[in-house]
This record gives sequence, C-alpha cells and structure tokens, in this order.
Amino acid sequence: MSAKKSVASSLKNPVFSSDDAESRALVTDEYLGDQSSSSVNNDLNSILKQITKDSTPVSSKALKLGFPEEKDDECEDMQLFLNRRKHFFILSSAGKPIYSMHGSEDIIVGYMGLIQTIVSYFHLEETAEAGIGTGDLRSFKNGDVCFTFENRYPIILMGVSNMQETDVESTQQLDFLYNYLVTTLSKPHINKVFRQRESFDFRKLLGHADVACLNNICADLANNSNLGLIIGGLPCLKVKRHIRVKLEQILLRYTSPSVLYGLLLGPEGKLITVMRPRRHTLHTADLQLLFSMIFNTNTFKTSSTDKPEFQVNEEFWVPVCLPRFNSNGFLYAFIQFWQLQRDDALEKLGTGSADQSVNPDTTKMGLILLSPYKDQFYQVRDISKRIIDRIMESSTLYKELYLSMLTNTPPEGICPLISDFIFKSKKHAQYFLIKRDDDGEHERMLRYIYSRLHSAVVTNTLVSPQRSTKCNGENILQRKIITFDSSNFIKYTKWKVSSSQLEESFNMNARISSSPQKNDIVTGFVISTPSFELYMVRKGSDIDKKALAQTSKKIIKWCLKNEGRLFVSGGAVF
Amino acid sequence: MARPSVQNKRSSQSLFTPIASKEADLKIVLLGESAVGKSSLVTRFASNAFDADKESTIGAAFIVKKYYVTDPETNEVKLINFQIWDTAGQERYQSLAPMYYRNASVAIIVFDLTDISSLTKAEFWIAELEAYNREEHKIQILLVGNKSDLSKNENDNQISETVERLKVPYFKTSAKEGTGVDELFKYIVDSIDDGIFVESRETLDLDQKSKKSSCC
Repeated sequence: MSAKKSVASSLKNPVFSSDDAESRALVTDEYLGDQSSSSVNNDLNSILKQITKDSTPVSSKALKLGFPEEKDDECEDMQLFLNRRKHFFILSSAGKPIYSMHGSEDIIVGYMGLIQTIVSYFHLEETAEAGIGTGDLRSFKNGDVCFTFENRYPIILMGVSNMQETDVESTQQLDFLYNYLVTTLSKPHINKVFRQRESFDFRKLLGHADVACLNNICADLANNSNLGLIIGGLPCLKVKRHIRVKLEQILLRYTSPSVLYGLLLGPEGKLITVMRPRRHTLHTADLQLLFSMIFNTNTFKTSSTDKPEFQVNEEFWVPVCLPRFNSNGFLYAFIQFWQLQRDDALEKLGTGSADQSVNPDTTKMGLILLSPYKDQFYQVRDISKRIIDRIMESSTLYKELYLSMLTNTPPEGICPLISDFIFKSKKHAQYFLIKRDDDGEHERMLRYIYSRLHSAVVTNTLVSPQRSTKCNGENILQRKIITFDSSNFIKYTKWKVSSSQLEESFNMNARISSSPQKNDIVTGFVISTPSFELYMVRKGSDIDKKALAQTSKKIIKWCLKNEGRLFVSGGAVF
Repeated sequence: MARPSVQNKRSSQSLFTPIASKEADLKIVLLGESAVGKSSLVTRFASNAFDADKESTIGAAFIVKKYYVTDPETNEVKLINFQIWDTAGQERYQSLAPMYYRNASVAIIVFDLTDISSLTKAEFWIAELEAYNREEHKIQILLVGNKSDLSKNENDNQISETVERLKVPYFKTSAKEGTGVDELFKYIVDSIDDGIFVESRETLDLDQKSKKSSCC
C-alpha cells in the first residue's frame, strides 16, 4: 500500500518523500471541526460564550493523530532515509558532516555537499545583490515537506519536516541544536578550530555523550516529546508557597562568590526554585539547554540496577556555556542528585516505609550550582552539602517535597471533564502540567495535540502581533474579568477516533485503557492571552461546548489563584 | 555478561560496617584517552557493577568511597576515604586536568589494551604528571591497561617495551569482568604511607555518644 505510494511520491519529490512507508500511523482520524477566534474585545465569559454559540464546522479532512516513534539511525537503506518524517543535518561551512539524525555515512555525505552548495549559492547571490551578506536562504516548501536552513558560519544547519510545523517552529528547533553545540563547546572554541583549518573534522570534538544528546534532542523534536520545547517554558513542581520561601531562605544563607546561580530540581527536571544575583536573570533557553545536557544522556545515571536512574553516589563538575548568558565563556556546573525516599527519613515522618515499586527517579531531587570559577569545586561542593543537609533536616520541608513529588492532582471538581491540561504562565516562562495517565499511546496523542494547538497559537501570534496589556493574574482575580484584545486567541479542534488499525493495535496489546477507542471524540482546546496559555485535552464522549467553556474557566481561576504554588517567581535573589 | 550489583549498601553498612580506629583521605585521579574505561573502572571499584551502555563522561565526576581494611596481625581496622576524580577523556577537557590532579596522591593512567593508540595518550599524561611532580608533593603514577577481556595480547610487545621505559607500576584489568581491579586497589592501599592516618572520626563519634549516654 504505502510503499507504492511512497515510491511515486519520492519520484515527484526527489529529495524527501512525504509518506512514511516504514510504519503506519497508529490512529487515523476524521477531522471534525476547527474553530478559531481572535480579535475579540471581551471578557472571558463572553469569549467562551462565543464558542458555544457558533456551530461547529465539519470538515472531511483526515488527520493523523499520533505518529509512530522516530529515532536516530545509521541505516543504509536509501528508501527508508527518504521516507523519514523529520531530518536534522549539521555540517561545517566547508561542507563536512557534523551530525545527521538519520542515514549512514555513505548516504549523508552527498547530501551534506548539496546543502552546503545551496546555502552558499544563496549567500553569494544575496551578497552580490544587496551588497551585504544578510539574506540567507531561510526555508522553502515542496508539497507538505518543509526545508529550513540556518547559516551560522562556520556551521550550517538544515531541518526537513513533514510534520506540518510552521517556519518559526522549525527555525527555533535548528536554533536549539546550534545552541546545544555552543553549550558544550562555547563559541570561541568552535570558531577557533575552524579558523585553524577550514576542513576540520568537527566530529572529533564530540564524544559519545554529545552525540547521544543530539540524538535525543532530535528524537524529542521529531516525536514532540519535550513539552518544554514545544510550548516554550520550563516545567514546575507544585509546592506550597511557604515551602518555596523556606527553600529560598536556605539557598540565600549560603550565597558565596563561588556560586553565581543555583537551581533546585524535582523529578523530570521540574523546577522547585532558583537562586540568582539581582543583576542577572536566568534565561529559559539557557536552562533548557542545560537540562537537555543532563536529562538526555546516561552520563549522570547509573544502570547498575535494572533501569538507568540518576546517580546519587557521584557529584559532577561540568563546564557549560550558556549562550544567552555569555556565549564566549564557560560556567562550571556542580550537579548532585539525592534520594528523598529513604526508610530512616520516612519512618521519622510516620509515612511508612519506602514503596519499592515506584521508579526511584520520581522521588529524587537535584541541585545544580553554577560557578564562574573552574577550580572552586570543593568550595561549591561544601555549599551544596550544607544546602542539602538543611533541606533534609527539616521534617516540614522533607515531607512537603516528598508528598508533592508523589501527588500531582488538582483539587477535586476543578476539571472533571478534562483528562489532561497544561497551564503556562508567560510571565514566568514556566508551565504546570496535569497528566492523568502514563499510557504510551495516550501520551503520544497528547503530544501531538499539544503541538498542533501550539502551532495554532504561534501562527496566530504572527498574524496579529501581541500588544502589551495590563492583564496580570491578580487583577484578573479581583475583577473576575479578563480583558481580551487582539492578542487573545482561542481555538478548539475535535477529532473522531475511527480507525480500524487502532482497534487492532488496541486488542493486540490488550490494554484497558485510556487509549482512544473507536468512536471516541478527542477535543483539543487552547486559550492564549498575554499572561497565560491553557491547553486542554478531553477524550471520550463528545463534550458540550458550554461545559468545555466552564471547565476552562474553572482551571484558569484555579491556576491563577494558586500561582505561587505552581510557579517559581523571582526565586532567591541576592 | 555484567556481574549483578552485589551489595545492598544499606544493609551492609548497618550490619557489617566495622568501626575503624584510624582513617585517612586518599585522593585519586583517573586520566586517559576517551572510551578506555575510566568510569567503568571506578564503577567496578565503587559499586562492583558494570554498565555496558554508559556514555562518555562530561566534565568530571567526583566519587567518594569508604574502604575498610583490617590488619591481619593486629586486627586493627583502618578506614580509607577514597576521593576519586573520574575525568572525561576528550581533548576539549584537557585544560581542566590540573585542577583534578593538583592535590591527588595517586594518578591512575588508563589505556585500552585493544587500541594501542590510547597508549600514546597515556604516555602524554605520565609525562605531564612527572613534569608537575615536586619533591614536597609527589603523585604516585600507575599505568592500567583495561579491557583485558577483549584483548588477544596483540599489542603485548609494544606495551611491555613502553612499560619498561616508563618505569611505572603496570596493571592489566577488565572492568567488565572485574579482573585485576581488586589487585590494583589493593596495591594502592598497601602503598599508603602510615603517616597519613589519623584517629578515626568514627571512634570519636562513638566516644562522644557513649559519654552522652553515660551522663544521663
């Protein structure tokens, strides 16, 4: 079936076919409705009322809901290579390969040369015409396949996507990959090696861990599996406000010239709090890069047990360059993880002994201290020890942190109709996530819907540039009114799950589940305002629009009311 | 096959940990080409485990390991607090190396028995450390050829020539199978100068505890 089609399409489209012959979509869905509303000057009630008034347009357009996982490979099969839905290439300006997500050396070498030729052709053309070299080729489209370029002399990046992403998103992805190289090596180092020899083989500089990181970042981008990268923010651990304050007081007790920034992390890189000097902020993008380095390799993990988990018996001292902070120099990251689930500590609290069935990483905390000095490891280590001791000594802190890691549900009645949601605070560039299920298929569906909804927000933002408003969380609460203007945006989309393939895979795996079942309706909803974004997913029976509107209102109110619990604001500033 | 992790630390600590009368801190640094097995050696020594899928070290890792030795004649228990720097082998981290070896007592220079080019890097490190060594602070240098499980002794002639020329103690290990690792660390423990041992904090703690309890 699809093999034949893909040969045809690859003939028409010689570089990359848009059809994935290797694997079929897990769920093919009927597109039920899509509705967006922007430029509304009204309060939340009336904007939500509006969607309930409008009739849902029904379109026959089919959508693939959820993709098969795509991972890096060094496959020699040209056809498979051409059928990938996502490619990333990194090469030197001289055309030497640095990294490719897919394909064997033999396959990629030719493409690298081609990419280099295309990029330098446009570079020269533009330079000749405009007299300055600023008009590089950014992107072009061939059918559904989008090609995006980033020329960051002495490095060139190209992305190929068949995932209906916007140019903006694709460019951001290339930017992230480029910055990852800067994070590991720093800009001067990259420039130096190519200045010495233009044909330098950059791969010599990258270790297994770097390549593993690049592979994992690319896989995240191809599978929408890093929500922080999709919606642009950092995940946060929900903790009582006074607990965060207490932690910040502890951090501030140990400020020292040896430490510039401090980060306290919960499981899955969820931010608990930060420490920073008054004159410097921490950039979200820098932290995403740092976390990518830590969470995407097994360098910081041990697999002496069955499953790799974060190493608690080692401390790490890692030079990192944070491009937004300073792309020319390194900071030195002291990284330590520790386990909260300890029998002795739990006994003291009377919460019973440790539950061995829980993934050990879900109850680990991490402390990262960033120092400007490479030779102050022992000083920083000493500070880290004291901070960790203080946290573990306090039974209040210990108990609250431990419990917030194990429970992550909003109070009953807040969102009975919705299985999953993300609330992102734009001011803090942080998000809070409610996930009801860890089922793989469900998660894949979620990622897809979140990324589609985010795409819609991005596209809309481009059409109507944001105006700044005075809309701030507290005001809204007091007035119980959210002022909408052209920068507000609501969209909701429904898919009908109607695939026979789904039923088959469903039976094969014998899952009782939360995976979409035949005739289920999946509803994705996003509301974007200047201060926050709310993404919701509902799955199961069709949902009444009025109920959808009411639910979203409830969630927004709850999140705004609990802002101090959900997000780190400011952190420990010294 | 990798050996399973043998010890449950919690129980072994609480049940069998002896009380040492003397203790000493010992700083060790591992240096050598990338992917020769430095981290694996440390993991084998510190947790008696092997991780086949381990990716390269980024920067460096600092590992603390308590190690008890009992004098067979006097039955005296001594505690050695190993402080081990496991460094990344890649070229780009080379400039950080002095920070790791500056205060070290022992440097374990590792190369891969199956990849003779990694011996050149080992020679480089030995030369650098010897140039650094002073009368007042000498780093003891040990050379380790790792991955003996994979080696077919193909490079033996060249290795023994080099070892003879360098005049450093030489060990063959397999971090994967665990062979030679005990011997390596036993050698390190045996060559510790008795003068660096001090009265153990553990005994001090115990004294304090007993004093407290006696006064109540």
